[in-house]
Amino acid sequence: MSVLSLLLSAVLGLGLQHEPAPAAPAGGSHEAEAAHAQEESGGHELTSGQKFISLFKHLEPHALAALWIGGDAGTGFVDPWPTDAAGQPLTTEHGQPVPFHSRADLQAFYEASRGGGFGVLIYNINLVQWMAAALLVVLALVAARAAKRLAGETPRGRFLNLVESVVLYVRDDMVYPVLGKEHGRAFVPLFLTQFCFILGMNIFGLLWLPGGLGATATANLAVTGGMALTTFVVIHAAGIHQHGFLHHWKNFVPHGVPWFVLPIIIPVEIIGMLVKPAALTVRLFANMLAGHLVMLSFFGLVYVFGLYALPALAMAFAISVLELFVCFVQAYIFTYLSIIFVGASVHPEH
Amino acid sequence: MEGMGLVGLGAGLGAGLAVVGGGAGIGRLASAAVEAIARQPEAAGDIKGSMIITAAFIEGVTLFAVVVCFMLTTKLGG
Repeated sequence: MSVLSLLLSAVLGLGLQHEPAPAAPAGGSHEAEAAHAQEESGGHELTSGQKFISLFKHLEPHALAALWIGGDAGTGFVDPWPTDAAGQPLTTEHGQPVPFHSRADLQAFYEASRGGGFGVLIYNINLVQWMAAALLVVLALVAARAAKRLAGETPRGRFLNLVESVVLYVRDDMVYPVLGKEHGRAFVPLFLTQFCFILGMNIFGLLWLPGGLGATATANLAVTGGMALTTFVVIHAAGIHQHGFLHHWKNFVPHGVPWFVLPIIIPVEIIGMLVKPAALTVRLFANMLAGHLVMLSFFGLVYVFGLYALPALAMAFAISVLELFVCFVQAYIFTYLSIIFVGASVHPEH
Repeated sequence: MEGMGLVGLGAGLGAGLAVVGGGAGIGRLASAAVEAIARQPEAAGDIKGSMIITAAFIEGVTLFAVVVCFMLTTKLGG
């Protein structure tokens, strides 16, 4: 890849030696362009650095639709952007309406006119989550039908072998070694779903979807926090199911510890209990966000260096290949750590 | 704005320092794992598994630091 980018930069360097980079305004045509840009942006021109930074705004989720539930005006969809007194939506410099940033804004804006009720914003990350979930459901239904038809025979064909390899990997290499065959069996569907759902969301984040619908759902703290909350509930539900309510909480403290250590060990264990899901949340979030930041940074160099930035686009391609690998690794790590935490709760060492 | 240059300096230095720490950690981890696999090739699977998990812990902390630095830089461009 580096050879390719070197070649590209050499070719570009020869071809463009006498042309100024588009981002550096010098010469008559560029002045006209700058004036045009100023007209479009409504009076203030963005510097290349500001354009560069504004790219990162693409990582923030934005609302696609708003659903209003209840109230005197009835349930239905409402405009997801605020309007001024004349009923005109507030727009960006490109004339696109600016959607509500949070549910509280939506609630405050419509509550009086709809006569009470409850507003919900539907973000692009919700859409991606639903797409990943729908894909999983369809795949699972097709695979389940095939499994019924095969009735224990060896599955054949590309699709079935792919599904089989994923399912067997999660079962035999992730769940069974930690939880054991007896206890692990009940957890395989849960962790298989968790693995495939996170993987689906990660990979949907790399895909392009028209009209700003695309988003990386896992590059959002709320989404990864929700996934980690599932693990948190399962850790305690499995522990309580296995040992009984009181005994599960007693397992936090190792047996045979002298009483005067308890004031130290109990707070430490409580912190540890809360840090586990928090670490899961931040790890997945930061990994997915960081990958996209690096890619966007390479794309953003186009604003600063113009056509000279083509080698950087080759690098962005290389990084997106790396990101594909990270998608799998992060799904694996999230699921495997969840399995280890549940395993520690089901089989306490002490 | 006053002092914004220092914010950029701090963010850049912070990201670099985080990468130094994370790189050193993962490097030591990988060297130990490769050595262990060379000594005992039949345990390669287990070693690889625990290596990836530990690398994920180190990487998680590093990325956390880098994200904090990035959040500083978003204050620069406005």
